[in-house]
Amino acid sequence: MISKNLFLARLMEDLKRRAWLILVSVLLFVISIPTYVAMNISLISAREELIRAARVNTALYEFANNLYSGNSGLFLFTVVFAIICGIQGFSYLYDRSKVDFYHSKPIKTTTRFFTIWTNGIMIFLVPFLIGTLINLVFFAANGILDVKLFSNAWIFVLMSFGLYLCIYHLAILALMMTGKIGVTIMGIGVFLFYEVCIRMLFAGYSDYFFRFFYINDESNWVMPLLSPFTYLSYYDLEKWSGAFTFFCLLLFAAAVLFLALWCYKKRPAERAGSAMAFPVVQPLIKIGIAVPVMLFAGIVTSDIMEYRPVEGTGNPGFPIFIGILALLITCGLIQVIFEADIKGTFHKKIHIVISFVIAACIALIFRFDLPGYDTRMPSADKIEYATLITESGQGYYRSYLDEDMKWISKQEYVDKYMKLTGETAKAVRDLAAHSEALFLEQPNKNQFYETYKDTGYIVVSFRLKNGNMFTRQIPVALREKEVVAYIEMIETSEEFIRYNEPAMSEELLSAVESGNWQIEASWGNNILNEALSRKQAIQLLKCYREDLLINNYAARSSEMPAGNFRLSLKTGVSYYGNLEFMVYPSFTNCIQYLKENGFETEAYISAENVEKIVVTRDYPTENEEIDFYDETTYESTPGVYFTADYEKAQEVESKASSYSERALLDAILASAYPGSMDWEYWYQGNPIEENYRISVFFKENTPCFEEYGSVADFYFLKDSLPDFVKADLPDNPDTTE
Amino acid sequence: MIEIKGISKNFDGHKAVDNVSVSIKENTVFGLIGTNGAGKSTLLRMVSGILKPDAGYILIDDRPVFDNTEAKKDIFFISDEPYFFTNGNASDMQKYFSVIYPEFDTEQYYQMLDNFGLAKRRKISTFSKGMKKQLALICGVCSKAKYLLCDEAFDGLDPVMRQGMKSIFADEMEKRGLTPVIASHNLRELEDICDHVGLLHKGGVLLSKELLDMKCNIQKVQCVFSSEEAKVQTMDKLTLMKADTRGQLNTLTVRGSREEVLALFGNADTVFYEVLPLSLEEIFISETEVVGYDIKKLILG
Repeated sequence: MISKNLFLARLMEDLKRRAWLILVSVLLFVISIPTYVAMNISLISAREELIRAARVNTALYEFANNLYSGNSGLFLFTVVFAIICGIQGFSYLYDRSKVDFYHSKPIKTTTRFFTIWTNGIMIFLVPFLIGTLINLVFFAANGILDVKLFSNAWIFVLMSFGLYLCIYHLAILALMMTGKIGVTIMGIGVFLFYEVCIRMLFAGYSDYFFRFFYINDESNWVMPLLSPFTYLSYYDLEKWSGAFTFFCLLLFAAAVLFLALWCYKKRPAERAGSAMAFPVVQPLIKIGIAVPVMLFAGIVTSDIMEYRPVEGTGNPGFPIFIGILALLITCGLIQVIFEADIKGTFHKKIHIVISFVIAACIALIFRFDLPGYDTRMPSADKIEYATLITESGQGYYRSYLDEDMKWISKQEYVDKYMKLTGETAKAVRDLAAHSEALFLEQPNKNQFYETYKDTGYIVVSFRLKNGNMFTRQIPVALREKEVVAYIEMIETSEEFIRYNEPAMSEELLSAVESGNWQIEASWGNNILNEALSRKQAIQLLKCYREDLLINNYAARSSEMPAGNFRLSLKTGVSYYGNLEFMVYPSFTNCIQYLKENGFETEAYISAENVEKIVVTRDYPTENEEIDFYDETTYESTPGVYFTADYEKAQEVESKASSYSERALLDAILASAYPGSMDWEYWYQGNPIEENYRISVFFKENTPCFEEYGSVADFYFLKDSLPDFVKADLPDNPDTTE
Repeated sequence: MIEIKGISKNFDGHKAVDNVSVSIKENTVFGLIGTNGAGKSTLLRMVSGILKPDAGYILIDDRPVFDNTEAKKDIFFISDEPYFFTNGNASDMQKYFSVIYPEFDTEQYYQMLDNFGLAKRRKISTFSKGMKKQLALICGVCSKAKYLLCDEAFDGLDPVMRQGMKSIFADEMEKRGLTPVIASHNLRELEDICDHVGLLHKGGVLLSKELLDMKCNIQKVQCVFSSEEAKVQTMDKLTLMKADTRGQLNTLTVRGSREEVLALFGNADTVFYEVLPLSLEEIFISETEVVGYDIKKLILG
């Protein structure tokens, strides 16, 4: 009892010395936030349009929920406050006279620690709880407090408290290891960001030096394991439950607290005012910072100087020089901080040498792929299942619906559902292995693209029988004989089609059929579009699904889409997905359905609607002095847009030719393809003539004009350039005058 | 008793205290003398449990002191720059110490503040250096800790205040057996207060003795011998620590009691002799010169 009273008395005495922090906490949590809440309640309640629509309570509820839904402002304040509280509580350790005063008193080290620690918690928690209670009273008084809001508020309090504990303990730990405020703040920075920096550096080096490197989930790769922010983001992404997140935050906080207490007990009092409390860790910290800095400087300089071994360009001299320079500066700076003396810059040269050796070894490991990242490929018998993502607009830019009717990315969908087995998995494996071999045959990446003109890439993942995942991103030579055979084998596999095509998702079909979802559907070529009713959309989707399963690989390899089928689905206010399905001439079910229902199935524009066409040819050039914006041409053909890209303007000279005769218009339109409707299938390669752009000017009062405006962009398909265009815009621009 | 046995302390490779062994008896005033950097503060900080010795041990009444609250209850450490709470006043300090030291004498505290003319509500940050030292000493005395460790605590005190403090110490020693340990770089500060003196130099103890023993066992004699032969004969019989000769006049510092020395010179062939009193300073000079140190440089500057 006596000791309890003594502890409380000591708490009170310690609190007296932290008055300004208490004031800040009370000002924010007990005064400012409740005032802000009261003001908003008053403002929302007075909004006439809400009163008219009888939506005041809904708006108030939304406001209240937003306040307690991961409010980033409050989280930021929590972090800053935790750091200040941690430092302020124990900063007496920086000052010898204070250390003498406190440490000579008959108080156990542990008791002294927990006295200060407890106050740091109370200063945050008590005002926070009081403020939350006041807010809840406000909400209750306005009749919007329900169980969900109540629980959300307390979950937010718990999460904030968990975050506060973690950061508070990290700040204390940093303080225990250091002896000056500046160094402590740097230490907190290291604790919070070191792991993420190392992960980013590792990913950066892998991406830079490994030919087939691929990050499956970027956030997972970079997210530090030892960070409360990661845990909160997992909660936010609904990967973790609230209880589990709080448990993890507590666990993290407890581990850091244990370390901080251990350091407090072991901390030599004489280190007050020194940069580091434990000289034994100085070399570790110095090397631990210097090595990544050297590696970072090296890779950034490599990028600037275009030293790219994978592409076979540049040389490593300058990056190495800058890396060493960064190492020397970092080591010098850290040593100066340690010794608080500029003369210490080049002390402990051995640390510089060790850092250099470690950094050089790491760089060499990546540069020469010592782990064999680029040469490993599991044998077919070790693969449990495979997944494949192809370089396809459809694959990367569209969303997929999962069984919870949530929109997820292609990567997430494939990771979740695609499990290619048997012959398909073997074909994926063989395609990957063969493509890797073709790539590695070439001295570098550029040479590969030079040798195989039409290329794409694939991302393959293999779940191995030992439970490991193996993922690579591999460039693919699309016209190479064996590659073509593998692609055909995969693309005609039903299990691949089912999980590659968003249209094949049963969830999508049920969402389109369900009355719970609002849908907007259209058919067209992006120049002319026609709306589809829900019934028509359902039917067209079913036809499309049937067409996908028909083995029409050979046809699709060489054809261009006849048009696209667009679907927008929406539930609630902002929860929507947009999908676009290309319909090819070989999609007989779709074409037949569209024709039967009176839709146009040709993607091309009739010359009747066109006033004139301007064809522009770009001439790549090295001449930087070219006046790209040819005013004469521009004035003669207003509306022709050469390019707004200034960098491109440095490299490209354009010449334009205008046509308005019906015969010429017909000829151009016969081989023109809508620029805004991309070709679909990755294995087709690039089907258009990139250096020619067709600007079609529509006549006024035509459907095209009304739908799309005065002008639309088209491209020539490869090998379909009319001869008169070739003559007007020859290979040598100087002959066009 | 404070028993310090073979303690050492290194700071960044520099030996601040090197194998020091000293015993501080209860109810005595122990003076710790040494130049700046001699290791006095480090030694006191180790004794008060702030620093942990790298080697050796310290026992406060047979209890180790580091992180031992029971032992620390018997210790009050006043550093050379005493710390007081920012914006705190004397009353705030009383409240704090009353929590920390269960036997803190609040009545005596306020009485002493009055006696020394220190306002209890005035911010301590506005006090002069001397006033802060007085306040720190008052806090230490009123804490009722058995051992009062004062690091340069008398520096900056005017003679009246010093005298006042000395009488308080004497009173507390008599009443409850207070044992002040006073470190100073100035021997004159301690001369009239210490019972026992320890001399620290370069982290080690040069000597540690009872002042009375030292005073009784060393004598200064001024004399003129009748002949050179008489001088040689007499000097041979003396335990000579130091000898100065100016013309015929010899000034000798010799070991031995006053009676022994008087008897020896009574039998010697001298024209004139006289046994003079020695100041603490002179005793130290003589003692340390014997072991090869020029004490004037060490403690008198």
